[in-house]
Amino acid sequence: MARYALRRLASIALILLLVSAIVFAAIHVLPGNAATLILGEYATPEALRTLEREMGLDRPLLVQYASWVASVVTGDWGVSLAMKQPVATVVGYRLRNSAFLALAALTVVVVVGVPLGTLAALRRGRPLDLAIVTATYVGISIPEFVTGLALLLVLAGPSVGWFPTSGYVELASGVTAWARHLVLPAMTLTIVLLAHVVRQTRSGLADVLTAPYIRTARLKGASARRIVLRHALRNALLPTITVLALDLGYLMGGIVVVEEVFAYPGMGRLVIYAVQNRDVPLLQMCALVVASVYVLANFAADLAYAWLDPRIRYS
Amino acid sequence: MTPRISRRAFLGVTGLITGAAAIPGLTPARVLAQSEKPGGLLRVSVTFGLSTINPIMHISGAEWMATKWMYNNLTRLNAKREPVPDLAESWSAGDGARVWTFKLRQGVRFHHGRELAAEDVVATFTTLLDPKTASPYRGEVGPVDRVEALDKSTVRFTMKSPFSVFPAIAAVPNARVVAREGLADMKALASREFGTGPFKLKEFVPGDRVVVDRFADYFRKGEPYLDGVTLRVFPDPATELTAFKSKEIDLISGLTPDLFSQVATLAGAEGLAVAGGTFAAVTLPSDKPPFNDNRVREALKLCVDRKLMLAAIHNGQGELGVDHPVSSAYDAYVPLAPRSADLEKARQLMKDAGLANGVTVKLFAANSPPIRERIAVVLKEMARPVGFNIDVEVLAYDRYLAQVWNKGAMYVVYYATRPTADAILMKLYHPKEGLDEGRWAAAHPNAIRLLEQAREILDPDRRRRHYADFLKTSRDEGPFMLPFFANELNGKWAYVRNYRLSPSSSDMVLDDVWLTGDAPKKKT
Repeated sequence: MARYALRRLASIALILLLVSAIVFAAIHVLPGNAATLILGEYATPEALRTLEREMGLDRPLLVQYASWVASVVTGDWGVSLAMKQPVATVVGYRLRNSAFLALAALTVVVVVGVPLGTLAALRRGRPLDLAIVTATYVGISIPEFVTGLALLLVLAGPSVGWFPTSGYVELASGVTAWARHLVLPAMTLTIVLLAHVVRQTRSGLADVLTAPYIRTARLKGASARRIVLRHALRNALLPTITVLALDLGYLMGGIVVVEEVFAYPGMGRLVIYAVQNRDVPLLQMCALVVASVYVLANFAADLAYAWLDPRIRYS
Repeated sequence: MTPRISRRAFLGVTGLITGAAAIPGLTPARVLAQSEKPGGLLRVSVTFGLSTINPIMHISGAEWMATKWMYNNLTRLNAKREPVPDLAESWSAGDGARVWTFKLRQGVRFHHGRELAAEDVVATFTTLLDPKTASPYRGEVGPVDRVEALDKSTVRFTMKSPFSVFPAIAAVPNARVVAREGLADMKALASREFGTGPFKLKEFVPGDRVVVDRFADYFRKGEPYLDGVTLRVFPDPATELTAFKSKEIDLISGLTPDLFSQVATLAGAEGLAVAGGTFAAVTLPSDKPPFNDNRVREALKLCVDRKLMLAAIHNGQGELGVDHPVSSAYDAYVPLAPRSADLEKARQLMKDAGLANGVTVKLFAANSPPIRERIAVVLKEMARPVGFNIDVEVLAYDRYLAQVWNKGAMYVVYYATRPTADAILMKLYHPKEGLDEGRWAAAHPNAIRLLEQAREILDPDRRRRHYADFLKTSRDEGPFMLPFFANELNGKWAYVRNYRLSPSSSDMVLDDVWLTGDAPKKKT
């Protein structure tokens, strides 16, 4: 097991290096650089050259990449070209905000999604099942910005006004205010993600419920409740863990639209900002962080598999 | 108290639909009964751009707004765009506008406690003008050769050539006066401030918000009235409007015409509009066919129904242009006969130029701000009947900057109101001081000479006559099709008092803005 974990960690390091190389190459395919965007339509050739030199953008690409890798390895994440602030500070702040939002959304997805999926599986083919499946599909089919704006207009509009429209406040200014700002974006994300978990739980459970060991349990006289909660769900939920791990990655870096609608300062908007401003050190670190979340979440999911299901052995 | 919309703003706007007068409670009697009250938090929204708060390097309107609150310039511009004292209490020209001497106010304190001295002004301008700094607007500051402190409160600027509008130029956002210890670390200046302004920095989250607190030692005694200001970025206009309706936002800056009409019709809200100098124009590269022939340039200009274009693109909120960049917001403004579409004449000109069968040209437009693309598309349709086959290519702003802009192509430029007519004219037409974006200067040395002479003349009337000659040439032969100037549009709730929308809307002075008792009390 330990050897397996070590091997996985080594391959994760390789994946991250590859990701950084691909992102670095990709951003340099785009025309222009940070200096062109900082100076905008007031650039003179002289000022452009000065800024490029100052930011080290006049060096050969390979040298730029190598020096970036060297400093990241030593723990120096560099300075954002457009914001002139340490990348670690900027990314750290956004990462924390995204983590709050991701955690809120995932918690609701699990707490609501697993019971809904279970219910649907138990009532398979009946009106309740149909209603649950249809409703969650509608949720995933409607684009995020429509769901987000609809929630915003209804629940944050002047007539209802239960929640703030947008933004983020620090935990320090009160848990209530902090939580109120998370409600609408988290609700939007829940609606979008619910179908994954409901669907997975439903089909997993439906499969397991036809398995021989469930029939045995039933014949031994276990109550329906005990059969579902103790025997069936534990096995049926395994694939759901993978789905949640993938969702976590998405929530930590891919929710640009929801972050834009709710003016939420998270990782998604930061990635877009970094691309638009050709802010290479910032973009590199964002990409690394998001990729890390993906691979580590999947790694954690695999480890959780082995722990939850003694039949699974990694070697 | 006078009503909140200045006479100038009111007169300068065609088709003003603010409805402010109809709002109950804003009648003069009630307004007169109230007076400035201290306290309260003002929440302002923008839609993009908040990367840095370093005044020497910032380029976007939102950044200019934020530094306006934390810093002061030597001068500021009044509603008539004339320079009035800010940190300088007086100034005088010597040697035919070649030397400018500014006398600083006494007893001005920086937020970190020290008193302002002439050396701070010297350090600011030295950094700003240093080519190594690569300040984006360095060119706008004019031909400054030397800056020196004559004593603790006197600064002398010596120009390479006479520069009559320097006091107005001293008000540009990039010339905010920064304490010299702040300039020592330009990287830190991106997220810290060393200013003398009415507010001091409390929090700055790049790309998201700036929060400032009242500075108790501000040199304009008793001001500011507000306890603080929050500036927030709303990437989505629908969210911004909802936040405004829910009174999470008190003042929306930089409204689109669509949002403006929605805000103006809300009970208790006001749409503010003022004629500015912001425009989008099409460059007609005059160094190569087909636009090296003025008949072709003129033909294209004659295709455009400017009134219709303004109505279609900016909801009629603006001032019609005649193909030069000086609007009525500038002191150099000269009313010239308006241009109307004349397709017959345009066709004849095309025939004379040997293009009776039409011509195909490629027009590039960046996707931001949206006005660029709209002008390109409307122009394409308006010019088609005369034989212009305009192939419009819309491209992302970053690609536009890197591959199209200032490379001698036909593209849509966009400029916000500048402090002086000199600044925008030099930028657009002059081959050395600016970029000659229409590639026109080489063939029109006399016109360029007029610009160079005008900036040397101290007497405003004589200067205006020089500009009049230049503007006529620019209208009749110039390398730009400039259809209209877009009004600056803001929205605010009636409980925000004393706010005067400036023709350059990022010039947001909040020193004497105050909130009435019915402003929401909540802080977020």
